[in-house]
Amino acid sequence: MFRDYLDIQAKPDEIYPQPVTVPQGETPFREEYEEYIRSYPGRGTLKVQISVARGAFPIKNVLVDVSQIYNGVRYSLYNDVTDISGIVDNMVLPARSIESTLNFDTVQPEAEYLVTVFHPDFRELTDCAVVIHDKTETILPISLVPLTGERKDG
Amino acid sequence: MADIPTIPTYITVHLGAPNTAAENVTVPFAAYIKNVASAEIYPNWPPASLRANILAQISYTLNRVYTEYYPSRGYDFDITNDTRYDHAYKPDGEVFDTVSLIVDEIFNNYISRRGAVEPLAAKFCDGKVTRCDGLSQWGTVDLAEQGFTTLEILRYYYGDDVEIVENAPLADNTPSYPGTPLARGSFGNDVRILKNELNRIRRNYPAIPEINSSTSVYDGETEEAVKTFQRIFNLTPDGVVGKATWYKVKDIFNAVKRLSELTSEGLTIPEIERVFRTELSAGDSGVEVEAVQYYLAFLGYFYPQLPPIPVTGFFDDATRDAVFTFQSEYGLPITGVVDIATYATIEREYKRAVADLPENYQSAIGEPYPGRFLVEGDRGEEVRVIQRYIDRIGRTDPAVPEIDVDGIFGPQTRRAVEAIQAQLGVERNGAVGPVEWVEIITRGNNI
Repeated sequence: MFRDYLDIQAKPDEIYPQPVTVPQGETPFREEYEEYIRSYPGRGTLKVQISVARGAFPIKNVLVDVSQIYNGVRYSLYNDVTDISGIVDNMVLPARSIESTLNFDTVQPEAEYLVTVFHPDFRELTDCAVVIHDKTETILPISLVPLTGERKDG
Repeated sequence: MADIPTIPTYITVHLGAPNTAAENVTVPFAAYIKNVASAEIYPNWPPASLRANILAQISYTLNRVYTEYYPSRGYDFDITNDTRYDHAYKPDGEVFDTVSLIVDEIFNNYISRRGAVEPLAAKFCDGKVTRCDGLSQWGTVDLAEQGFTTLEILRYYYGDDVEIVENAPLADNTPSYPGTPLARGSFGNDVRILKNELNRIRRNYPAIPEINSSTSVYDGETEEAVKTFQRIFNLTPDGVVGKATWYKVKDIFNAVKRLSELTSEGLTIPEIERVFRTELSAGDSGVEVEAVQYYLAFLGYFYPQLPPIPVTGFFDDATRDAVFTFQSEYGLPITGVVDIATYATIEREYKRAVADLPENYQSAIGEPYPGRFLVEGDRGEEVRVIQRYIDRIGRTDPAVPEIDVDGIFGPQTRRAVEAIQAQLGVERNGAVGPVEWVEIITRGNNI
């Protein structure tokens, strides 16, 4: 449906680029946040892409955790490690419906998640907030800083 | 100020208001625009709306850079992330695929007023909570839904005399997109270069399949390599090298290649220690300046706070700014002058960075310069390494004799080195110093 909408709107000189991926599958389900999943009927995907040295090297085997805090409780939705290209891909997550992002007056908060990445040789990055949108792939490019050379106070 | 606007390779963002103490981060220009656009607008807005907003963001940013708005006021950054002054920018912020694809396609386009040279200082606001005399972000949605094109939206807000400048040159002299996509069946020098670049990138990104044929024809295995590259770097995986893929390949190739060359060119630490003067400051030149630049440039690859600088041997404004930043980051007196304490800290951090990086990253950054001249009579693994590359050159260049790779620097190796020195136009002394090392490694790798 989203693609149809885009195709109708696009002018011949503005052929819209194809999204890299279309969300497939379902987000991990738990009864505790069933209500949340129902109220966020849209689905988007998250791709975490980790590198060092301005993208010169992907970092493999980085632990990636995607969590959400709902009703004051933290739920870990995805746990994975990056592949040889530094990527964890295709994590499907609930989002607001497209209609709500086309209407300024919508009061529903964004579907926001927290990403934490860990590799013993690099500075840990915790609770990096990402917003997921319906029928959209969100890419989180992270450039990790090596643990060596940490600023020394004093 | 440059005569014709160019697209900067990197941009330094101050993470706060201009006159407040805050961290600076230096990020690639396209990555900056993707981050800004993803923070400012919704990714599923109509395409004409997205494009109009992104062009406004690009133009405003380029105007800041072109007019040297902040440097001319004494600041060491190009732009801030305080929305009272500039765009929203979120460090480690997310990017949306629809936005990413558009930015990759139009990152070197901008808005300009007819007859003017500079990129338009294209103001914008959300149009709901805040209003201004520029573009209304939410207003672009309404206009796009009414059927306005990108240019019509821009003219609605900025006047009928604005135009879109396309394919502006890149400041780092990256070859411009030739205008015709490369695809299966294409041939020519651009294809041969593309294959070499993908094979070099593959050494760091091994998921990209190797391209074995060295011909100038875009064949099936080239297409597969391109598709994998596109998947990794968030491009449409169609196996066609259009403008977005062309520039992304150049971008990643430059990142991996420059770091590799930088590492190969590492100057000898004992040599620098011997000649280091008590102070280096703006206007100085020589090998010790080169060493400081080298160390800072290397560290800049790993620490986004340090602005990238070229290794020229001349202590210019860029070097001074990098020294300022380094001193600030490491709690040293911020003087812009490299005194003994600053030099020792720079050198220490460099050594730590090289020594403590994970092993696989060290091996991937090329053959590190051994830190001393290799001369006739030397033996060992370092000699064997350079012999391997010399021999590879000798097999394709009749002016350079093929040699035995035995780890012994004898007369045969010396003659080969002299032949390479003759080609380089440097003194023919038969010794392998930093200049010869990087030349031999680079040539050998390119065969």
